[in-house]
Order: sequence, then C-alpha cells, then structure tokens
Amino acid sequence: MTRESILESIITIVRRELNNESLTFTEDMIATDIEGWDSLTHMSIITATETFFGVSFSFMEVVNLDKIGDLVSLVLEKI
Amino acid sequence: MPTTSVYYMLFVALCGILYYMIPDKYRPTLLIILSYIFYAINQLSFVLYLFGSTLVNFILCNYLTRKRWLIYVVIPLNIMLLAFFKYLPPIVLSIFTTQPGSMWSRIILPVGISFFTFQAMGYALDIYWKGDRKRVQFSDFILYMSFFPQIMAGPIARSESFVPQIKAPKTLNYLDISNGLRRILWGLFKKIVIAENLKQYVDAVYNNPSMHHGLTIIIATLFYTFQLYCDFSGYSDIAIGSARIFGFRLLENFRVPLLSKSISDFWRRWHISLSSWVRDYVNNPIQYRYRHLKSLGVIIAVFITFMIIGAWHGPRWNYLIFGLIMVFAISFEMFTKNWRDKFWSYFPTWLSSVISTLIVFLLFSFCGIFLRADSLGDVVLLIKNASFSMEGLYTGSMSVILNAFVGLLVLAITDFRLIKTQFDEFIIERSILFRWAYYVGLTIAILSIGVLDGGDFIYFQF
Repeated sequence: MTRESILESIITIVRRELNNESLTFTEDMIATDIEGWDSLTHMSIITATETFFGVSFSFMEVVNLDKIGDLVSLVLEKI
Repeated sequence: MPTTSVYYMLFVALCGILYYMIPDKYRPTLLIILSYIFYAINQLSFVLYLFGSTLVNFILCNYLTRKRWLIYVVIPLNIMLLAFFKYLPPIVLSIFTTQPGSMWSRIILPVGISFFTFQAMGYALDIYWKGDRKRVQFSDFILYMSFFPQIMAGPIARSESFVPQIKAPKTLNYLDISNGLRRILWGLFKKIVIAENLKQYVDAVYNNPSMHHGLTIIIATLFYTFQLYCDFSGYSDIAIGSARIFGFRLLENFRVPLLSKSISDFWRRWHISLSSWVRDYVNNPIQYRYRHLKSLGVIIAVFITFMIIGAWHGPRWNYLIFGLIMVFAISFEMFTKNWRDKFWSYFPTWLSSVISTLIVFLLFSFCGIFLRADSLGDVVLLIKNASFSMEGLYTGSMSVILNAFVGLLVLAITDFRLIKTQFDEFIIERSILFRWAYYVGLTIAILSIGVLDGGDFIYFQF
C-alpha cells in the first residue's frame, strides 16, 4: 500500500466514525484541527484503524502520534 | 498570604518590577527565588519538602528512559506521600481516640501538595511514554514545580507547555500586563463579590443542616453551585492573570461550565487542568487497554477516572459518591446518545439547548450537596428535608443576597459572551469607554459590596 492509499482509507474511517461525509484532511494536520476529533472520539478512530488494517498499536505508539502523517507512517510500518 | 489580599497584590507588583528590571537571562532564577519565598511565607515548614520532592522526582525521571522499571517507583512514591498527608491523619483520628496535640492531629497538609505532586507524576509519565525529548533541565523543573502564581491550587501545569515558556525571551509589554491585571480584577470580583456573599447564606444552612428545611435547602444548594464556581474560577483567574504579568500563559481552568449541555461537556469545561490530566494519564491508558471491550471499556476507564477525582478531593465517602453519580451520568449519556439525538430532532435547537443546560446545572447542583455537606449523614438529612415549601424560609441578610445577585448578573452577562470567545478578547474588542466602565464598576463593586475579609479559597484544602 502507498502512503496516499493509507491516508485515503484513514479519511474514510474518520468520516464514518465522526459521522461526517464531507470531512477531509492532509498528512500535515493534527487531530485537534479536525472537527469532532477529540479525546473521546480518538480511541474509537484508532481502534477502527487497527481493525481496518488488521494491525495493533501499543499505547506508547498512539500517544506519540503528533500529526496525521505519523499515523500513516505507523500503519505503513505495521502492515 | 491569600491571593485576594493586598499583601499578595503588593508581592506580585514588587516581583513584577524586579523581574523586568533585571536582564532576561536571570529572570527564571529570580522567579525560582520568589516562588520559594512565597511558599515560605505561606508554609515555612514544608519548603524543604517541596524542594525534596522536586529533587527526588527529577533524579528518578532522569533515569526513566534507561531504567523503565523506575516508573513503578516514581508513581507509587508520589501517591504514597500524597496519601500519607491527605488520608492517614484523618483515618487514624477517626478510628482511634487520640489525645489533643498528638502526632496525628499535628500533621498538616503541605500547601499545594495535590497540585505539584500531580505535575511531577505528569512529567514522569511524559518521559515514560514519549522518551528523552520530554526531559527538561533541573532549573526549569524547579520552576515548573514551584511557580508561585499556581502553586497553591493550580491550574495543574504540563511541562510540555510550561517549560518552553521559561526559555522564551520576555519583554515588558502592555498586552501581558493589561491582560494580567484585568484577569486578576475579574477573579477578585468573582471571589469577593459573588462567592463570599453567597458563602454567608450557604454556610448558615450547611453548617446547621438540622435547623433548616424546605426551600431554604434548595436555595442554599443552588447558591453553593455559584459559590464553588466563582470561588475556584476566581482563584484560577487570579493565578492566570498573575502568571501573565510575568509573560507566562497558564492552562485555562474553566470555560463557562455552568452552561454545559451534557455532563461529558461539563468535564471538558470544569477544572480543566485536573480533568484533562486524569483524561490523558489515567482514562486514556485504561480505555486503550480495554478497547476490545468497546463501551464497557469506556465505562471501566470513566469509573476509575472518577474514583480518582473523588479520592483526590480527600478521604470522604461524599466525594466517592459524587464520582459515582458522574460515572452513571456519563454512562447514561453514552448509551442514550442516538436515542436522545433522535428525540431532540423533533424540537427546535434552542429548546434542546435550554433544557439540556438546565438538566446539567441541576444535576451538578444536586451533586454539590455531596461536596459541601460535612458528612454523609448531613447529605441524607438535607436531601430528606429539601422541598419547595416556603414555611420557615431562611432569608439571611437581604443586603448580602442583593449584593450577590448584582454580582451574578454581571457574571451571567460576561459568561454568556464567553461561550464564543476568550475573556481577553471579550474585553479588548469593546470600546475604551466600555472597558474603563467595566474596570471601574468591578473595582467599586469589590470595595463597596465585596466581603473583603472572607476566608481562603475552597480548593486550598485539596
């Protein structure tokens, strides 16, 4: 998978989890820049991402995610 | 030295003059000295404890990335020390009848211990999870642990937002000083005019629960909600304003919480520095650990989080029951979200907003009985005797109630504006005439209808 396709999949996951079909974002953005992505929805987004890609993240890996690009890199590293 | 006193204002003014008179590179050192002087003025006997806690935490955290097992030393050590001061004396005194003047009755709580201990644990967990990039210099860590505007009762700082500010160059500028001063003024108004006037009615009822019944209890309970909010947010405003004078921006601690539309929303707006601390360092790791359990995992995390918030307040069953009510409310909100969204879609948005806000306000006010009453027995008595009956209504001093209402009116007007903006912006965007009328009005109110010899802030006891 390429970075672009992983980002596309993550956007789809976040749209579904936040119930917002028009939502879009780039790798440079941080989670709090995205409407509705807060501490409460964060866990469900991460869990949905794990399920979708069939990977598992540790808590340490998750707290060290600063930008969306870091999440893409982490998925790329795991699959 | 209460932060509402003239002595505190003089201390801040003197420190501010000294701070901007010396070169920038010496200012952090000066702030450390001033912070320790401030701590010594308030509680000389625990200055060494503060320094000892700072030193031990710093040394242990320095080895955390290489010896990761040390986290099982740092966190229990801090919790044990906190529990020793907060829990052991009251428990021992309640079980054993000790003679007056015994060792247990002489153990007092070090000022700000709950706050700087949480800061130390937050720092340790940051290094444990995020590695060496979160480590700071010893001199920065001393200031992070002792910064005088926030040492008494927060806001609980995070090293990643506080420490970079120590290094940032600071110049004497109008914006920092004016924003700082008006924030202090607003905090003084909330504490002295609103909280202290309401306190007189609340204390009269809650200190003698068996003497009151009917509507009096409901009024005192509603008053306590405003008293607690104005007392603690007033303290936070003074702390944030004082820090701003020295060019530091502390975390906001309140964001119009009494206008929250859900209990979950309320905890994102009330005592934010504590609720975000427990969210990041307690709730999230537990929730992550049990994420495969989905909703049940969330509830387990929320339950543990609120038990910790309850226990943090002190060794009383009242606080744990308060936490339990919050767990039930948040679980209810989580499980019924879809149903409630569908239900409210049949009504205008404003109606759902008003009713939701009212429900949250009344539920929190009800929980306030557990926070304010001295014992569980008093809670039961107050709830049993509360009704809408006006028979034997306690009116207290009408002038005191009128003064409080004047304050509450100004609070309501300001807080409604603060839903969409910050306090500084709300003031700066007004005309010069409005701004000065506001400052002069607040000052006159503080001096004329404020209770200037009121007690300490409620959260100093925690």
